[in-house]
Amino acid sequence: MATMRAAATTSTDTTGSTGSAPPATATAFPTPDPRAAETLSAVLAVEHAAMYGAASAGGALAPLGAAAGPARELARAAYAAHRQLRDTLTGLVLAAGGNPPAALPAYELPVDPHSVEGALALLADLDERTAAASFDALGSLTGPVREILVDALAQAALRAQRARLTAGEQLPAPLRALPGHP
Amino acid sequence: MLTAPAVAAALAGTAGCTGTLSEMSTSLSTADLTAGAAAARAERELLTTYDAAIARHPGIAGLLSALRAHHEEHIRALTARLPHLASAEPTAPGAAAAAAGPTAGPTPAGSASADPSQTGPAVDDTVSARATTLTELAVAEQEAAAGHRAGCLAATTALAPLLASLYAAETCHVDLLGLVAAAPGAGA
Repeated sequence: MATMRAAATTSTDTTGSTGSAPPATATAFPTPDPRAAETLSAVLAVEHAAMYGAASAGGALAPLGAAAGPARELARAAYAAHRQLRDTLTGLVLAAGGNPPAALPAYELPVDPHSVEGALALLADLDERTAAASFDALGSLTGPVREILVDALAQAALRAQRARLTAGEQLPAPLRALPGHP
Repeated sequence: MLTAPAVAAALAGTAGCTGTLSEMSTSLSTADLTAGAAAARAERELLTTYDAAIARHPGIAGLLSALRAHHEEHIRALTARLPHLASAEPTAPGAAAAAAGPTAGPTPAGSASADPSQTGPAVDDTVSARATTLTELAVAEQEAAAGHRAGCLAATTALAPLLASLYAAETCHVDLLGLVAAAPGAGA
């Protein structure tokens, strides 16, 4: 379960750019930092997949009516958060002198989102991957850029917990003692 | 999930942690030692806070015990990387155990408490008392979270990932406590 594998299919573009400028990341790296660029690119690749997955969850939930409302809201919020992190990371990789990886045309989803339970499980899974990727990145990143990954880890852990709570899992199943930790 | 450092920490604990400590700490800076010690101190304080809350509110003891168990795991993770923390405050674990002792049993009287002026083990599981405790726990978790985040940013890459994970965990606790507080009767 390393990463979601690329699927040999195409899909509609759900991951297009928002057109919004990345946050002020241009000054994060005064000089090229290939190691940081590589580390951040790994997280960026996870975010591309997370956006695809969150959009798929939202699309699968769309026809499921009022009962899917809370899950739909979580999918919408997750998509927005992953998109923002993607833009931030793209700016950081560029600032570090690297080439940001592009999104793949499609990804194989680890969970079928065509039910409320499945969509929530997918959303939790996506955010656990983001938390794990952030945890890994913090093992090699230095400098102020770490702040972005620290907050990304916490926000991903929070969304994953909310998704599991919304799925109605009994305590302590929705809780994680060490989010992102392998 | 017993890691090699955890084994080393356990061995160090029984052997007096002399040679092992210097070996384990070679990749850790002073900033790591400072941040790790502060994190362990915060986690032990949370254990004490939860012990009092669990004794006071048996109706939500299941929820509170689940969160308390996380803090025990946090201490284990910290001491796995910083073995000397296991013995740095030899009274702290004992104090936590002593606090947990009388609360573990279903003795409601709790009159044996030596210091009734503190938040003693007297049960008061009314809705308002429960709400007050949940708010206090959320504040304590929020303070610990802020400390972990600052510690993470001050630490080196040797300790930053773990402290970020602790920050994330306490942030999740704050959220869960808020959800339970907003839905009285939940969390039982």
